Amino acid sequence: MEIKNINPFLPAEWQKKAEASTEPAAAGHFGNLLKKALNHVNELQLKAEAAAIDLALGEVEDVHQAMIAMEQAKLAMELTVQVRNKIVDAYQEIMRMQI
Amino acid sequence: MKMFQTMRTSASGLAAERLRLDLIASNIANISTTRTESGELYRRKTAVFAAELAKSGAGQGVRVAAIEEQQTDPRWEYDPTHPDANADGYVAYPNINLLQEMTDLITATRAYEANVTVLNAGKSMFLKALEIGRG
Amino acid sequence: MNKLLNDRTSLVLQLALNAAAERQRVTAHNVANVNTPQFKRQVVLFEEKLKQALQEPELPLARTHERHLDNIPRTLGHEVITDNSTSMRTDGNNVDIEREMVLLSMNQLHFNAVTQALNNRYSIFRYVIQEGRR
Repeated sequence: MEIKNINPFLPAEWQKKAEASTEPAAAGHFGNLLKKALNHVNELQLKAEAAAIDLALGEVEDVHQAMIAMEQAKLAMELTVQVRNKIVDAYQEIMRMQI
Repeated sequence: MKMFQTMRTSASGLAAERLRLDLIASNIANISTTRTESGELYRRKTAVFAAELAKSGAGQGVRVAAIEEQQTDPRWEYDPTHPDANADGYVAYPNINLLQEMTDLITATRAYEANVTVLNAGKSMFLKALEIGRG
Repeated sequence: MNKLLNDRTSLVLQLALNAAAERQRVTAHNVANVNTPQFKRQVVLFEEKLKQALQEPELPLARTHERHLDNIPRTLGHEVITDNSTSMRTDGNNVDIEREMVLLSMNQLHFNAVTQALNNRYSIFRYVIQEGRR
């Protein structure tokens, strides 16, 4: 079944992106999307870790670049966790429905 | 640490101007030194600055390339009674002009203060960058 | 998600921070060499370059190096050039210490402002992610 409107409070363009990606084609498509998103979060986390190590070594040329990398990783993680929470909530909501 | 390059650059400026101040102090103190420990006349000391560049060409401040002793003519004074007087009764005094030294002193001090200001600005920007993401 | 976090505005802000950081380094170099004979001051070019680039609808996406912490194409960034203009000074040095001090101040304030703008963007992202709670 399709799960539209993942988060009614997301801004319009994010909403459109989410809806465009979650085509009713198959559940597998959504799974791929989630996998891609998780990979990207992982990438950002690795980048942030590299930034932290470079910071410790003093290898960073501009400290603000390291700070930005770490902040982006943090945001990506928060977004992913929230999306996951919403999906779980939606699933539980559906499970609670009396047929 | 690469991220503090700007502070290292300012530090080089501070060090160079500080050295210059020391030389000026030495010149002024020795304005009447007709004979140093080596037996020679004291000569005016100046620092030669050169820009310090990284291999990539990026600016990394300044360094003191050399400390020169100016070989200009000394100041002659007639005083046959002086132990260092020459055959004609003239004494050679160091080629130090007090007015010139004072001018250089002001220049060096201003430059030193400017470098301190730049250093503080760099530090402030670094601290501000640490606030990225702090809400 | 990269497009969310690295949209045009965020990229521009990051480029501005890079330019400001370089400008600080360049000013430090100029001031350290205020009394170096024959020294010519350096300048950071950024605002004009960026203005031109922003006329394009899409930011040019040149390939970037993996070691870069950000995802910014290097073609868009700032540039350091040497200002070979002559000055009144007899030692061939064209550093004007008053001008450098003013540029320093302006740069610092600019850096602070851009950092603030970036922080605001991240705050908004976070706010939306958390649906306004907290």
